[in-house]
Amino acid sequence: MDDFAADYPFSSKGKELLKNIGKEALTPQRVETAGQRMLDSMTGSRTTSTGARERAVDYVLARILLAAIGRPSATRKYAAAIAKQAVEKLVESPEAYLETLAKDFLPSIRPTEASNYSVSLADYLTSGNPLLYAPLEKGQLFFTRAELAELLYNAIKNRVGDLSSVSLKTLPPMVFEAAKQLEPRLPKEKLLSGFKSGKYLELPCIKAVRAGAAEGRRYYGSMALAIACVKDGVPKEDALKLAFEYAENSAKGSSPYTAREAMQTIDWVYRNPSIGFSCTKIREQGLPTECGNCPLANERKRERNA
Amino acid sequence: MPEPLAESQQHDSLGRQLVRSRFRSFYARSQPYPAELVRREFGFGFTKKIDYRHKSFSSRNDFTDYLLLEIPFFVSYSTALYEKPSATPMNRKGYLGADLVFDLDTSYEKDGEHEHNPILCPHCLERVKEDCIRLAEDFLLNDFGVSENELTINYSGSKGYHLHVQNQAVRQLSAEARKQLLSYITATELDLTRFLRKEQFGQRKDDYVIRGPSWQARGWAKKLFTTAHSFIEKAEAKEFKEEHISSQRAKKITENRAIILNKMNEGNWDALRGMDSVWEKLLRKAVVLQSLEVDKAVTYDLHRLIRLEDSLHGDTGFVAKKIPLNQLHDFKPHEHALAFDEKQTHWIKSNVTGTLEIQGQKIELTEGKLIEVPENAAIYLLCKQKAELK
Ligand SMILES: [Zn+2]
Repeated sequence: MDDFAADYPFSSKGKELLKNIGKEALTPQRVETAGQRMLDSMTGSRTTSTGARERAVDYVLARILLAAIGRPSATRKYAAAIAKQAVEKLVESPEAYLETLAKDFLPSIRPTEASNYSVSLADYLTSGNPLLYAPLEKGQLFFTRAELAELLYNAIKNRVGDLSSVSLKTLPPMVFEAAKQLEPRLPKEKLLSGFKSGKYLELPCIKAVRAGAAEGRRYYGSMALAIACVKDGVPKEDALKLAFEYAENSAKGSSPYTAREAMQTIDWVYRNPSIGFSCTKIREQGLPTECGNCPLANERKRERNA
Repeated sequence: MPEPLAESQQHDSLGRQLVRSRFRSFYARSQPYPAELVRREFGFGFTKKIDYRHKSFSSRNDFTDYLLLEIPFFVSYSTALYEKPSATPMNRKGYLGADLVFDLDTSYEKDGEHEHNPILCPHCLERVKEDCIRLAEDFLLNDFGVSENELTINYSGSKGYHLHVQNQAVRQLSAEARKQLLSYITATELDLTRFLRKEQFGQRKDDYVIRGPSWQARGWAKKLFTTAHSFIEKAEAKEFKEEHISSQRAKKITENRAIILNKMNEGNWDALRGMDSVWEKLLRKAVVLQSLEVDKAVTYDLHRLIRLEDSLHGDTGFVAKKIPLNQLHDFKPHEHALAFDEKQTHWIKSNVTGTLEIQGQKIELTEGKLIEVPENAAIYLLCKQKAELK
């Protein structure tokens, strides 16, 4: 099972494999290699295959380095990369791996006849997946194999990205030194680079939306943003980046708001591009407006008066 | 902790003295206490809801002695369990987990269905109670799979209801997980476009079918399905009109009712073309009908204190009474949460004009006028500062 542990170092089997790693792993040379491999996995390039234990050590060191770097976007990127690799690997792995891994995150998982698997609500909530759209009934959730893989993707991402167990106080200075070297080489956030916003995205209300919407208004905020993007002829790819940024800015609230939700709105609006941009709707939904200063509002007023 | 009793008593008005003496006799005959009392932090209020907190007790007797000695007007305890409940600051307490608690106190004052009574409004109490039943039955039991013996429901003593879920699984839920439950219940972020999708099956523009939840759906998909399905099944002219559905559209729906319903059961929401706006209206209606407003912070804040069940509420003198779910339907706070002698009466001078409905009577109050009222009414008005004792 060493392969399993190395492929899924964040699982409890992975932790077991890592139990006996002592200080010997923390040589400057080893930390540097791990840092390079971390960058490779973040950019999607394949690292030359190494032994099971070595791969597991890479994982531990990467998280230590990320904690020392302290940039949440980098941590998220690494966590997403690891989660993606893990789920992709499941496809080519023995059938039993999916269940073994799933048990690690969702101990209550059971095979069911109709929909493949059921999971208890408490487990599901612990995995960090959103509940709002989940197939919930009597404290159980039901999933197909493919849905379970997606669930695991989120659960892995959350576990890998949670660095609260890494104690910065006990790390030797060498790690911070390596982190400092590594930081400028981290993939830059490509968000909005080379992107030219147009008339609608520059409206005061849309600018305010882009800075984040309050809970209860986040869905309509994403809608307004998506429509503005379509009207401005923003390529969908850029619109998705804007949605990502919007979700980050709107994430605060008593219930989480995920990039996925914002991106889904973009998807929907780009499939239905004829939707009009309605100032009234934006006002009705309680999004911040500044119609007195708004070129569009003034333009529309002039048209009405003409 | 200061002893608030001795000093404050000297300055108490006659009314305050009566309230205090009646609270004392209540606690002399009835001593509420929470499960796992020694692991709880307590808070007590004498002039407001919580004047002192971070208090703990080593036994039920200690706690009762304290109640009888101090006669607090408000008694609250932590939904959380701690190793050292009285330690401060919070992170020294040693958090061990928390009950899952919901607080319902939506204001229905302006719901347009009634003339609100600012003295005590039976209609508003009834509306919140309906929410409470829905939260318990539709969400906690049906969706979350809570069993009835893990659920305690109590009247808050004022305008709402509290629901406590106690089991090992919920105890370990993080604040984040509790927020997920809230997001599910309130559904404010529910994106309805996710439930109906166009499935293209051919090259031509019209080669598509609209897919939606089927009768086998679960979670919110099921709730949306149920509302839409039952509307199509039962709607008559009046209901169509209420939803602003045109009479031509309504006629088409009525003529094709059976086929629409059959197809819906299979997840095909496309038996009749041009239904987009009807579906949108019905899905929105479903969210309004089936979602609930709850006080979120009470649920996700793991260090909250909440009113002790079966204790007295200092703003009303009513008991924060525990009620089994199957008796909730008939429960009326102004009749069934009364704490004091129903035969005893007192003379009071009212500060308000209006009707107080309590203990099965309607008492007409006039500002500045003296009136003899039952003790429960007197204490209620004194606690609310709507009267003086004469
Ligand atoms: Zn009312």
